[in-house]
Amino acid sequence: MTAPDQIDIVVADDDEDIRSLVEFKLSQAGYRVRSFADGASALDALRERLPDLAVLDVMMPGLSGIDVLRVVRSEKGLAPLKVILLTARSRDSDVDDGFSTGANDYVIKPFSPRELVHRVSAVLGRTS
Amino acid sequence: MIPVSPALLAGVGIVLLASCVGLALLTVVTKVHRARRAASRERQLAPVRMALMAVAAGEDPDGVQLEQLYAVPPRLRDELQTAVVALITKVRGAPVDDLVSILRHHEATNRAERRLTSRRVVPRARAARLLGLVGDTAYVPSLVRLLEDPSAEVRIVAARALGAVGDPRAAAAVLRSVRSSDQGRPRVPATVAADALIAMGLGAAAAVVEALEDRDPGVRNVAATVTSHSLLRPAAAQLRRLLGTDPDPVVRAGAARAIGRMGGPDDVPALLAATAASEAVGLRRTAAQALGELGHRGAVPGLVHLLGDGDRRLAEVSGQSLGRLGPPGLDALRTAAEGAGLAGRAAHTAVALHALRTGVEEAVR
Repeated sequence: MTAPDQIDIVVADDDEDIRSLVEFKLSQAGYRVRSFADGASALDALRERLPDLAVLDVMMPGLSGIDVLRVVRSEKGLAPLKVILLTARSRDSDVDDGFSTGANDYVIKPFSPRELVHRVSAVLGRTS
Repeated sequence: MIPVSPALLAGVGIVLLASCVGLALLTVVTKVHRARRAASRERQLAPVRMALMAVAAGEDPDGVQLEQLYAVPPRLRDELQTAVVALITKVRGAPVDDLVSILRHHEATNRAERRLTSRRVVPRARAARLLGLVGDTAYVPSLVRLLEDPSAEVRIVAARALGAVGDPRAAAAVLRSVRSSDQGRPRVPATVAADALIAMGLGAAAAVVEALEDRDPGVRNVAATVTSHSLLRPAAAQLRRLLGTDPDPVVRAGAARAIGRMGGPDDVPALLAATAASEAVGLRRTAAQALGELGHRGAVPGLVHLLGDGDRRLAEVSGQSLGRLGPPGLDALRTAAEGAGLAGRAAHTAVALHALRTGVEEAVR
């Protein structure tokens, strides 16, 4: 099994508090984290070096998390990427949209940082 | 046509242009001011930023970071409070208790309680929001008083804060706050009150059931809406009575929607009766939709009949509801689609929509 410090995670959220919090919590759990404030920058980062997992906010200026996910699932080089959507949109239809676009998991804000780490571990197929 | 002098037109144009430039400048100045304030806050809090992140992330098992935040000097107190309040709204679980303890330690809650009586609207609203986030039932009486505030914004924040605290003892007050003011408008919007009541859970049941009999239609409507969310089975009888006899068609539609979510086969006749041509348009459509939500095959003949109704939106809703009833509804739709006239066309559209939806779902799977 890969050691956490060899697992690369990209985080994209336009809310600086949440970005910092997720980056902090995942770093504490031993993951290598790269964080971005918008979807376009995150997408560039994914294309530059494919991480093991991306945590994407849905509502971001410019490219939303769903837009990024759509591109990820349509590009051959990016398609294997595991994606968790982290969003305040909590209606059933929003969750359905997220999963039907190809998300591996869906976490609703306000969120538990501890639970997020467990979800990341589960999506990566690891025991936390 | 009234003649307008070119000079007047030019004058009006200049005034409009100047107003636009003024507004644009104001927007830029406001944004710059906010950005500078945020940067200043960031700079001032930089030494404790990591401690704040550690506490918010639940990474402070021995309380060392919390102590560091307790020790923040009074001059940084307001900046820290703003940062903590922002984080409380974004996380849940154990870290929230630690973040609240920071506010308490720096007496933010005491200050907020005093500010509830401020003469300015913004401090009152901010104070109410903070007390709601803290979630202490001790502040419920103060927040209930704020439901009578002269400012609509403050009343809304107070209702949301009461929902955040979740103390069902405030349920009756929240319901009363929906009653129309002298101007005929609700003092707190129905959706805000309903969200607050839902957040209070089953403890609010008695007040909600009682509100189904309230003299104000807005209150009855909120109570009907909340009933379906709270699994208040004992209230089903009152809901049926509202659907059958309430003088306000909006309340009856609210009851129909709630029955669609929580009712059973016995409710089909009452919902079908609410689709009668003599009923209000909104009620007929909502009842037809509720029959689809209820999902009982007993509704099939009535919904098929509505496919030929002159209200085409009602016919469309009825077709969609038939599609939700499973094989009996779909068979009836397909049979109706073979016929001519309005009913045939509505059925044909509903069958096509159903096929499209099923196809998309299967493709996604």
